[in-house]
Amino acid sequence: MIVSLPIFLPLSFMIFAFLFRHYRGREYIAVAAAFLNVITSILLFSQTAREGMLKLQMGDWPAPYGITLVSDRFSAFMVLIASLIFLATTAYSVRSVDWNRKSFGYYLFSFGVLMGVNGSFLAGDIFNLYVWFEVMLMASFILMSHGGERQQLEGSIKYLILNLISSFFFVAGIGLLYGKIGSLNMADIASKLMKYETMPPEINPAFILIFVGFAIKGALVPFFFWLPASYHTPPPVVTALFSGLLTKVGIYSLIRFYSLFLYQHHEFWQPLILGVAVLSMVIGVITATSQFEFRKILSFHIISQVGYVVMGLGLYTIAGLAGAIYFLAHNMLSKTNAFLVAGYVYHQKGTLNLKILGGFYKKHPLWAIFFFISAFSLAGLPPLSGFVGKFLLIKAGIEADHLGIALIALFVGFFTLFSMVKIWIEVFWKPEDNMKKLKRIPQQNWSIQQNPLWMTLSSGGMALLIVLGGIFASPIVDYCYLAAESLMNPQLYVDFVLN
Amino acid sequence: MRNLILEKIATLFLYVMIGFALFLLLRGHNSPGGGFIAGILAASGFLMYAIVFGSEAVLKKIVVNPRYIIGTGLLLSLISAIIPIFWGLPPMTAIWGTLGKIHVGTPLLFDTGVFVLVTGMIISIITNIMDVLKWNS
Repeated sequence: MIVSLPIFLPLSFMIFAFLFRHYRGREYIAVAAAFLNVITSILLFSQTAREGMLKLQMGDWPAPYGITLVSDRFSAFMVLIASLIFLATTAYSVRSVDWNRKSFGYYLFSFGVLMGVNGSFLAGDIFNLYVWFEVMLMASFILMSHGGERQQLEGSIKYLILNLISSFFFVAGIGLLYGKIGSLNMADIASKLMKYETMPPEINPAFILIFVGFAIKGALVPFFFWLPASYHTPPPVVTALFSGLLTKVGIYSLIRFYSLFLYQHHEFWQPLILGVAVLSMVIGVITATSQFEFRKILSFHIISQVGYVVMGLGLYTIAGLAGAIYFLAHNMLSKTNAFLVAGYVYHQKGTLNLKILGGFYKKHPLWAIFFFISAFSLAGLPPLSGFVGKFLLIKAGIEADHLGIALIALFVGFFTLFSMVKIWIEVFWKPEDNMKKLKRIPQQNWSIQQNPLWMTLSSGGMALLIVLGGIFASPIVDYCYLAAESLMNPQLYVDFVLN
Repeated sequence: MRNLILEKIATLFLYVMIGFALFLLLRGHNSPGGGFIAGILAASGFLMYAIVFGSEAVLKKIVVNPRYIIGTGLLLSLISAIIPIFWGLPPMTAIWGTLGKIHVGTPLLFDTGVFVLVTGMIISIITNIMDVLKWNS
């Protein structure tokens, strides 16, 4: 029962938003619903942490026939982090999203994104996973084009087309796989694959197609083009929400598939995944250095950070997977908060061009601190959560005899630091140049109302979580190790779901 | 220019389609049919009506904003999904009872929800497209 709540709760809010359209305090109800979602996620998380795995057979149909929702330690952790991010962005949007967007269903579709994300984390059936991807895609497309400004439409068309292509790849792969194996339940497929001595070669095309689908979703290197082309166009809070949730779902699914199916053809997949990871890390970080727009720099960094997670997956040791899980959670929090700060800067100045901005530290020291925490957590400075994540991953890389990859990861960390310092100097330290001051005033429909308390609260809360995640890392890391152990042992998952 | 024969046919077509849709909805559980196809048929009746009379006439015909129809459909489906929880069963389990001689159960409620949702959705889409294309003027 508790497993289905993260799906039913957003759905209930969506129905409420459909039925009660012109209602003044909608934003506060949305915040309350997001808070409720955090509570249910905590319940799910604590119960999963106690019992290891939970499952729910929808409609009481037993496992290989019906739709199964499965929550193991990894997915419960992801649901929890996603709910925290969602609470922060919803609270932030109380002041940051204009009245027009609110009354045309901003909250409705943001809860749609949440429902899709939660569903993908909990799905135990490949086709169900595909459906949740589509729910997420449609809701996020509407959020991205919502408001209909010119550059927004341009970005959202690119976003929609490339993500639809990814869905085609995914569903084509599902079709092939179903033709070969005759099942769609993940545990059932895994158990059928385990019976082979070596994975039969005719199954690999299906997995290649599915991998390409996930790689487009997760913005891995040869397929990342949609992300930097679209993420800087919608309202800042929407970008923050997407950067925290969307690409991470692709990566989550990749980890799930690798640990259930792909590991059986290890000698083929491991070099491929490690290669993609290294390329993502390096290319993402290098392209970011040439950008001079706040949100574009951060968008390119998403690609590089995702590369770290995939690197942990490619090592495929318990330490590597634990590092990947920790890094994924850390990255969701830090990245979202960096985008929230970018949104605040945008609301104040009406631009995000680094050459024009300046002197922000003097006027808004609190927000400078928030940015400092999240950006330098991304770069991996010691007391913050990013340090722990990178430390775990690089240590795992050295232990797994992939010294070259570990060194590349370290080297990429320096470049990340370079970009973050660039933003810090240009936006916060450099004195504001009055000559270059922007003539265009902030667009009216994006400007906040007077009181930024909600924005400060949400961004501050996220910053606090990042610091706490770094200081009290040890219980979280222990949990990640447990989650990685159960991922490394797919027999457990199969037995639990099928019996 | 009014076309009396077309208007009569469109009106008749609407009611025939709704009636046929209800028939398909009710036979759906064991025979071909069901909520989705019934919703599409009912909406096709409204589509014909909208082509002849314009989108505003359709909105007047269905009285409420299509948005509320969509919401109601979702609500019905959600209710049917969570009813089994009170029996201690997983969500979306079919629960059947008898009403006189007729078997009724939560799948029927779910299908009704889908029917209402699909109808409302398509009406909403076609009226919006007609507004954008300035069909009425």
